[in-house]
This record gives sequence, structure tokens and C-alpha cells, in this order.
Amino acid sequence: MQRYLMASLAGLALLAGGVFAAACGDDDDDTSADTATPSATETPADSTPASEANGPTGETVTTETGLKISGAWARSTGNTVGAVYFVIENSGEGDRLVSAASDLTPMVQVHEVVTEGLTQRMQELKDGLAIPAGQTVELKPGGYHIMLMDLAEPLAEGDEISIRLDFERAGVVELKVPVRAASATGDHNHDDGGDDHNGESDHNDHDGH
Amino acid sequence: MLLRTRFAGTVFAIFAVLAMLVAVACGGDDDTGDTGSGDGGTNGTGVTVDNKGGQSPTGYRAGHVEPPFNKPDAVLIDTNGQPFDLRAETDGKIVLLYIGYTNCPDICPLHMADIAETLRSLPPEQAEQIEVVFVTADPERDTPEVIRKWLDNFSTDFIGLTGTEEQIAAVHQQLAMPAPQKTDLGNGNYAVSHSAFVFAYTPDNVAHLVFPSGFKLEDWKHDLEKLTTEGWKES
Repeated sequence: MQRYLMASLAGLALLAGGVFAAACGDDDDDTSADTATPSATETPADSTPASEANGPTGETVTTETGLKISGAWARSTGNTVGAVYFVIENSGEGDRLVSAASDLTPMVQVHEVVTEGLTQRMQELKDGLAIPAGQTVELKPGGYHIMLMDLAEPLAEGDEISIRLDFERAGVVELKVPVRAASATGDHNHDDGGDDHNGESDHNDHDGH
Repeated sequence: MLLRTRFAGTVFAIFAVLAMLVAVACGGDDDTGDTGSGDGGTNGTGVTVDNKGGQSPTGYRAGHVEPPFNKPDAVLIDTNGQPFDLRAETDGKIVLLYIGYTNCPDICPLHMADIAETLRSLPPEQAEQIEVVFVTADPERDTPEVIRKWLDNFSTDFIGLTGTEEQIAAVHQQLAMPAPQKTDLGNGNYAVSHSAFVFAYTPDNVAHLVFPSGFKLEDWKHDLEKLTTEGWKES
């Protein structure tokens, strides 16, 4: 019976009316439609971030204020847009990622994904992304990301781009971000040993950003 | 709650609650509480998606959609610029249907990448039973050529469809979704709302299962193997 509990909860919540995204029962990992406050995740002590198993990631950067930014990678979609992901661990006081910038385009934004019923959409976090004290915030596929728009040319797999993150407390942080193919998956269950899974030739068409 | 480890928290939350629809048929067995018009499935006002804690009696790990969805009855335009009758052209196949757009940097390519990777991991006799259909939510920017180029990042076999704004809205309506909503991002850029799930249709043109973004590859593989070898069985 309890497997229907969640659906029942959904029904009850709906009776309260309105558009919402709620979490069920004892799950404390809400997806909230309106807030920019990220849900915290337990810091994966000693475990390799999932992103690292899927391809190259950027060098870890730490700030004097206690931020540790790791696991950076970008997805090229072979057109004028792209997404950048990374993980921020905050061992210091609360901070906020206010904005991001790149020499490749003036159109860089911090985005969240909002789920409403059967649909999803992304939108800019106009007030930035909160990085609470002592917590880890992940920018990852399906969640938060940095979006690049109006790229003069597509991000090229194998290239490394540079973005600047502007934090309220930590200030500006420069981050090197390796570019993966559009076909980079959410996770990989096979061993690493080269990310040659997208057919065609490997890493050959760098055109030098 | 060991089962929850199968899903990322956000994914779980998406599963746990599908809101926004006017009325929800709360999941009691066959008590769908909705009378839509379909044969076999209804795309009516009350829809729940629930992964049943990852332990559905059906054995599938994806979200179970109740009532099930009919395949949209639509003739759209394929990436050769030719009319494409969705039901007629995909009849008898397992169809993974997703609605997205090519200027989508995050979830849309993630879905396509995960599906492509999963299909490559399946035995050919299973993979060839499956047709992947991408319908754009952004017909203004997504011409047949643009869609083809983008899909080829993932697989040259994926079918890409566009249509008039009205046709695309009609497909959304048949899937109980509002017409695509644009969000201005500035400087002429905009985001477009898209489906949160990949709908998995069995050969009878009914979808009982939906796959959220971030669904693990091993779970994708598990469910597609099962779907191609056992089909859908009510438990």
C-alpha cells in the first residue's frame, strides 16, 4: 500500500491548489520552483564525483574564503549554446554565486531547471545561487548549470575554455573547463579508458580558442 | 529508505509528485478516476507518475504513468522536410518520444545522450525494436536541418520532427502538457518549456512508462531490455 502513498500525497497537495513542485514524505531533497536556495547534498567524502568518471574535468580551485570548486566540465551541443557544470564545496561562511562570465560570449547566465508537472524549463537565477556555509552545491545535468549563449562557434570537444565566477564573498574565481561532446551522458557505468563513445574521430578538430 | 539511493533526490522528487494538472487520479490500483477518450490509455486531466520506490510489481524502474498515454495522433514534418504520420510511421515499434529543443544546453542533450548510449549497449536485436522520436518544442528556431544536425550528435537514426506552432501545441495537448512556454533570456535568446520525461510507447501505441532526466544508464538499460523482451504486463 505504501507505494501509493506518494501519489496520494500528490493528490492532497493538489487539493491545496496551485502550481507547485513538492517533495514527498520524508524526502528532504525538495525541488522548489521558486527559490534559488540549493538543496544541500552530503559531501561525498573521499568518493569520486560522478562527473569525473565520464571524462576530463577541470583543475580544482580553492579560495581563501573556503570554497573548493571541482569537477568542472562543459557540454558542447554543436551550436551556439553550451552548459558548464561543477561542484562547489563551502567550508567557510555562506556565499553566493552572483554571476558568471566568459571571453567567448557576453551571454553567460546561472540557470536552474524548474519542473512543473509534466514539463520542465530552465530560467536564470537573477539573484544568483546561494552557497550555504558548510554545504556542497552541485551544478549538474538536470539541475543548476551555467549557460553560454550566442557563441560565435560551437564549443569543441577536447578544448578547454575559461570562465569567471563572481562570488559575493570569494570574489572572482577563474575556472578552466574541459569541453565534452554533446553525447556526454549523465553517468557512465562502464570503465573509463577514453571517451571515444561518440563515434567518429577522436579529439581532432580543435580550432584553437 | 534504501531504495531511494537508486535515484538522485531531485529525480525522486519529480517522480514522487507530478503536480499542476487540474485533477489528479490518486494511485489506487485501477482507480484512475479519469475517463478520457482514449483506447487503452487516456491523456486526460488526471495523471500521476510514480516509480513506486523503484520496486514496482511490474519490475520496471521508470516512472509509471497512470492513466497511460496514447501516442499523439499527429502528422508532423521530418528532418527531410517530409510529412511524418507519427502513429502510422512508428506502428509496431517501441517508441521513445521526447519533446525538447536544440538550443537547450542541459536536459535535452542529456536525454538524447543517455538514450543513445543505452541503445548502443543493447544487443542489436533489441535496439532495432526501438525508435527514438524527438519533437521540437521550438519550431521557430528548429528547422528540419537544424534538428538533423543536432540529433546527429547522438545518433543518425533518431527521428526529428517539427511542425507549425499549432501542430506542436496540439501534440502537447495530447500529452496533457501546456503549449511550449518561452522564457526570455535576453539579447534575443529564449528558453522553451519541454517535456520532463521521455515517454516510452509499446507497439500498441500506449505509454505506461516515462523516464525522467538523470535516470541512470543501468536503469535505462534494464527497462529497455525488459520492454523489448517481455513487453508491458500489468502486474
